[in-house]
Amino acid sequence: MVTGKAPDEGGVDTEDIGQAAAAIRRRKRVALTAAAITLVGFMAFPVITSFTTLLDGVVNGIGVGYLVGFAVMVLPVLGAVAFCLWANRVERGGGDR
Amino acid sequence: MNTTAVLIVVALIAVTLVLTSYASRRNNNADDHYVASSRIGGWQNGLALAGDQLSAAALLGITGAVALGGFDGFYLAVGVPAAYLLMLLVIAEPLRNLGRYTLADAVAARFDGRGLRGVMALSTLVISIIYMVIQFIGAGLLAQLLLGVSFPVAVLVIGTLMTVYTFLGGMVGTTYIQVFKAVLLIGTVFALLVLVTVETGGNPLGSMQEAASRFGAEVIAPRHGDLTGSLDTISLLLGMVLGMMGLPHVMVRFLTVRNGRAARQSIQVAMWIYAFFFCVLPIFGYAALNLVGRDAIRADNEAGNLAAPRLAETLGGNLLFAIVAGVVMTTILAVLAGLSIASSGAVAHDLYTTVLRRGAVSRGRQLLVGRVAGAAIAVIAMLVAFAAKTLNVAFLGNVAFSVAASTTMPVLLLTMYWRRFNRRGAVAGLVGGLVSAVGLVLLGPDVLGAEAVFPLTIPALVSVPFGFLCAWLGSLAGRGDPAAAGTDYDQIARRAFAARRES
Repeated sequence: MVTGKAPDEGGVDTEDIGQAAAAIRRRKRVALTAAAITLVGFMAFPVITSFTTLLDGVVNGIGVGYLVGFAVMVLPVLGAVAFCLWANRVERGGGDR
Repeated sequence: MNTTAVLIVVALIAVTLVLTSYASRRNNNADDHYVASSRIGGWQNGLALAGDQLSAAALLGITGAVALGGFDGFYLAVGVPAAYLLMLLVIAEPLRNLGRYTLADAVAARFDGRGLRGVMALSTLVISIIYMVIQFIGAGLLAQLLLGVSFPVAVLVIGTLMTVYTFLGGMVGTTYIQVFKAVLLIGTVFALLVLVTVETGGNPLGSMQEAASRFGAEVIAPRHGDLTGSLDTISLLLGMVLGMMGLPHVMVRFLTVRNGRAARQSIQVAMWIYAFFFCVLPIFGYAALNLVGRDAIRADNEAGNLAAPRLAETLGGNLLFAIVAGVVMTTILAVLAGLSIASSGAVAHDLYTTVLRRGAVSRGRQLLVGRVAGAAIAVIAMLVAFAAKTLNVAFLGNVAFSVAASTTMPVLLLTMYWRRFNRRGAVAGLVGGLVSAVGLVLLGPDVLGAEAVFPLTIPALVSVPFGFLCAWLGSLAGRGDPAAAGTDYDQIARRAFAARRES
């Protein structure tokens, strides 16, 4: 049973195996580190709102919990933009800067 | 019966049928049917992803929950962008590179074997059918409330339409319908936001400020319940943020795109839409509280599911109410079409072609079985919906997220990232995650009430770590078994992660 895409669509064409392995390690490290930060950062929000009164305040008629919550929704989008820029640069062969 | 609303629903359904008819000309083989021959562009797939995620439950449920429950309803909205960032970072691109038609393909790229594929397909079916039942029950109830159509008639009509969409249009048709629905929903939400903002003197957050001044600051501040309630909230968000990475109908969307770059672009497009959509829903909730009133919202529906349509009616009369009702029904149809494709792929490609016939099936036969499977699954889900009409839909949704977060998500993640993962670990992770997620729900307060053995209504806080633990223990147990090792990990990693250089 054939599974997955043909190598020329998404697979490696880097000739040097060592270079490719290093690129894959870097890719995995960036992805997993950023994912861990995202998960911990996100889960901090319900922990803080549920167990503390830090976000209970009101500023100008708007709940602080909501202000932080809106940021929790917008920040991942900015993170996604940054990751895509990095991934596109790596794909073009520009590497890390 | 609300004639205007019914006419708008009929008009929107007519558009979806035209789109299906157009798509049917491009739905000629199994590749077209399951993954649109992987030729969908980033923008189009991003809109279709948004179409999959922006459900009627989100628009109606969150608006109503905020109107009646204040900040507690906001928890249901806040996790979606973070969930998609995780998807972008760790799963989307490798899944696109390893998979073919289904999630099981991505796992099978590393570990062959019919048993594992069978369990993976079973998890996909459990998650998809639960989700379908939610949509059918929701659609039936909403059709009663919004259009005055009876529950069985609404479920039968919607089930038939879903089958027609997927039978004829396949993934191409489903994508067109999702894009149409996403544009329609975003347009409607934007129009409603403009009207709410005009109502509050040009201040988009004015309804929240007004609610605080009229009903007290507690309506816009987080509530502090007992320990069990707080842990339930954390479990809900953990299940949601991780579960989305295991939802088959969402994840198969990454198999439809041309390349890794398109996969990334599609998530980015979808995330901008989510950030707008989910930031706006609390504003609608407070606007409904101010303009419609808590008693009137409760009188329509105890859970507040009609808060958004009633808000539309207050601001724009019956025409806007009818438009929102029409968009909601189209939304349900589009989500069901996506679910049907994912689950019929699990039956036809994984169970029938690979497990039962060991791959000895022509592509034409596979397409036929996929179409028949889609119709059969629709019938099963409709029958379950008739039997489970009185079940709490939100409860079922939490079960689906928890099962996905505890089964398919850990196995996909470990297949892509953990060198020492093996087939025995994959089977142990899937079975352990499935048994713990479903078992804890059955032992929890939603099923046993005051006699509950497990205190939380949402099991993810326990079942997700347990799924990972089972996968780890299974991998340890299978370490000495060469047959469990699967394909060399370096080869898999090269296929999954290596970037194609562009000239």
